[in-house]
Amino acid sequence: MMSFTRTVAFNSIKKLVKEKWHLAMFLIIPLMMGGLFSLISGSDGQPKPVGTLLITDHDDSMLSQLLVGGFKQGPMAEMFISKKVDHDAAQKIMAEGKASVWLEIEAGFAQSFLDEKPTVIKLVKNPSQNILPQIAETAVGVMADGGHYIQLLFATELKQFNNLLSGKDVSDTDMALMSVQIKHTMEDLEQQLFPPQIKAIKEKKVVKKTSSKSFVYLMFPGILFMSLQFSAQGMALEFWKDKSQGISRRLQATPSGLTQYLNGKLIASIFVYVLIALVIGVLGLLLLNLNISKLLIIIGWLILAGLVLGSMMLFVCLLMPTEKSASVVTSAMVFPLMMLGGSFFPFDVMPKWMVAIGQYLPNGYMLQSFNQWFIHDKSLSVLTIPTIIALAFIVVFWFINKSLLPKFVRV
Amino acid sequence: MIEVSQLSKSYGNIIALDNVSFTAKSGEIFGLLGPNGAGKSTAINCISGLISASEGSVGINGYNIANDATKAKQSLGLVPQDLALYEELSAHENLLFWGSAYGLSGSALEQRIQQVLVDVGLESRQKEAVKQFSGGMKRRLNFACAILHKPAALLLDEPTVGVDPQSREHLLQAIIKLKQQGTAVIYTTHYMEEAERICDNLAIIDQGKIIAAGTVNDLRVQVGERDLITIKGLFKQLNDKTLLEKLTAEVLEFSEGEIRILIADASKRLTEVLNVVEKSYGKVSQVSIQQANLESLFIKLTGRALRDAA
Repeated sequence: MMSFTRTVAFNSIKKLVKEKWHLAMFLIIPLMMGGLFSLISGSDGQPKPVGTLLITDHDDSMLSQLLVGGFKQGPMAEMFISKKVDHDAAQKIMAEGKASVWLEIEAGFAQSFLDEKPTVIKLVKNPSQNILPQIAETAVGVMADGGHYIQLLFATELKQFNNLLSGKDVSDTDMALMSVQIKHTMEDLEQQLFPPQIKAIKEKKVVKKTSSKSFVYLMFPGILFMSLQFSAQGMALEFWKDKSQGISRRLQATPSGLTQYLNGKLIASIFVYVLIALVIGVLGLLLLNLNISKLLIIIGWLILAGLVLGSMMLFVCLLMPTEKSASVVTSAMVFPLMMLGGSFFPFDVMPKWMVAIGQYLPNGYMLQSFNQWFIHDKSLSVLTIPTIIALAFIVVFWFINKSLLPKFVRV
Repeated sequence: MIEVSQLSKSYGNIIALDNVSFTAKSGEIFGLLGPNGAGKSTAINCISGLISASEGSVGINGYNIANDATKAKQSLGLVPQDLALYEELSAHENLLFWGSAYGLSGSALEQRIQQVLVDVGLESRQKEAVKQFSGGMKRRLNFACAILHKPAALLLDEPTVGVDPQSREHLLQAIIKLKQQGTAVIYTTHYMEEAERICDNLAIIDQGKIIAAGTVNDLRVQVGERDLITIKGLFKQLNDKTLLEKLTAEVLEFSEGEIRILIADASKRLTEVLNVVEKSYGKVSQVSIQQANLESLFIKLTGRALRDAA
C-alpha cells in the first residue's frame, strides 16, 4: 500500500507540473514583492543615490581648499561626489540639470577672510532636486558661521597668520607671541565655559547593533516564507479540488483509504517546498553569495516550515463547508500572517508591537528561528528547539487532519 | 455475492433507507430502480462503505463491510454517480491512480489497464487528458477505473446518466461481460428500458423502502397485461371516477390536468375511453398509450412517474 502513497504523491506532482502557472505563482509573487521592496529600500552592491557637487575654486587657497574639503569628509562624502570644474563647464552642467549643487569661490576669498573683509561664496542649487541642495546650503551656512566666530576670537592671530601666508617676514618672537595669545584666548574661554553651568547627564544608551547585512539579504528569508505560505495554501486547497472532483470520496470505497492519500499529498507538498527552496536558494547563491551548505540547511528548514504551515492550512480547509469558503478564509489568513510574520518586512525593520505578535505565529516563529541562524549568524544549534516544536506541531496536526479527513470527504 | 440485510439509514428524523434487504448473486445483475431521492444512492453508499448504516449489515464476497472493511473493499468495485476522475491527467494516468488504490502495481497493473481500455473502447485515447473527453467517454473511463482489480462485486450508481447512445452501448456490453465472468453487479437506474434489458432481478425502491422485488417477469405479472393511457386536458367532477372504473380500467391518477388508467387492449378501447372522459369530465388535449412495462408498475405502485417523482 506504500505504492499508493507514492502514486498519490506522483499524481499530485504531475498535476502541479501540468498546471505550470499555478506552480509558478507560488514563486513569482514573492519574488516580485521581494524585488520591489528591495528596489524601494535600496540594496548593497549598487551605488547609493548621491548628489554631484560642482566646485569652481578661483581662489585656490588653503582656506578655500579647507572649505571644499568639508564636503569630502564624513557623511558629506557619502552624499556628494565632488567635481572640480571651471566656471563655464559648471554653468553648462547645471543648465543640463546633471548636478545637485554648484559652489563657486571667488578669487581673494582667503585674503578677504583674513582681512575680515566681506567675501562671497556663490551656491547654485538644482531646482529639480530638494534634499541634497538643501543639505549643501546648510553645510555652507554652518561653515560661514564657523568662520565668523573664528574671526571674532582670533582676529590678531589671524592677521599674523595672514602675514605668514603672504610671505611677510615673521619673527620667532612674533610666532611665540601668537601661540601664547591663542593659549590665553583659550584660557579665557575656558573660564567662561568651564565648569559647565549646565550639568550634563551622560546616559549610556545601549544601541542595538544593527545588522550590516544588505536589505536583500534581510528580505531573503521573507521571500522564502512568502513563497512557502502561498504554496502551503495551494497544497491544502488541493484537498478541496480532489473532493469537488469526487476523488477523495471514491477513495473511501477502496482498500487504500484516506491515510495513504493524506501521506501522499504531504510528500507532494514536500516536493513543492524543496522546489521553492531550490529556485529561491539558487538566486541566493547568485545574488547573496550563499554557499551550498547553507542552501541545504535552507531546504531542510523550508520542508519543516512548509509542513507546519501546510498542516495548519489543511486543518482550516478541512473545517470549511465549501471550496470557495476554504479559499477565501485561507487567503484571508495568508496575508495577515505574512504581514505580521516577517515575510513582507524583515522583523528588524518592523515595529516592536508587530514583532511581539508575529514571532509567536507559526510562520513568524519558524522565520524568526531561521533568521537567528541566517541573519544573526548564530550557530545551527539555535534551530534545535524550534525543530522539536515544529515536529511536534506537524505530528499533532497530522493526527487531527487524519481524523477530520473522513468527515470532510463524506459531507 | 452482495448480501444486504435489513439495512436502514436515517439522518435525524429523515429516514433515507428503511429495512432494505436483497441479494445479488455471482453472475447476476441486480437492478435497484427508483426515482431521484428514492434511496438508491444511499443504499449504494452504505454497501460500499462510504457511509455507515444506522442498522443492518452488508456482506461483500463473505466479508462484512463494517467489520472487515479492507477485505470487503478489495472485492468491491464502485462506479459512483458523479465522475471521480482527475480532469488534468490522462486516461492512463487516472487508471494508474485507481489501480494503485486497489493495490495493483507494476506490469500486472499495466496489463489490466490495457485490457479495460479495450473493454470500454478508449485504448486509442489513453494518453489524452480527461478534460478533452466527451461526457460519454468520461463515463466509460469512470467505469473502467472500478473494474481494474477484477472485483467479485460491482456497484454501479446510475452509470449511464447523460451518456450518448454509443457510450451507453459500450457500458452495457461491458457490464454484461462482467456478469458472464461471474461478477455480482448491483445496478441503479431510473431508465426502465436499461433495467429490463440487462437485469436478472430487480427491486423497486421508493421513499427508502423496497415496494416490489423479483425478476423482470415477476414484476410484469404484477402489472398484468394492461397498458397505460395518459390523458391530459382540463377536467371537472373529479369526485366521481366510477364511470371510468366501469370500463374495467384501474384509475391510477385523477386530477384536474391529468387522468392515468391501466386498461387491457388500450389501442382498441381508446375511443370508448375518450368518449367517457370528454362526456363526463371535460375536454381532452393530449393522449398517450404506453405498453405494459416496469414504468407502468412503478406508477401503479406509487401513483407517480419514475423520472419526475423526486
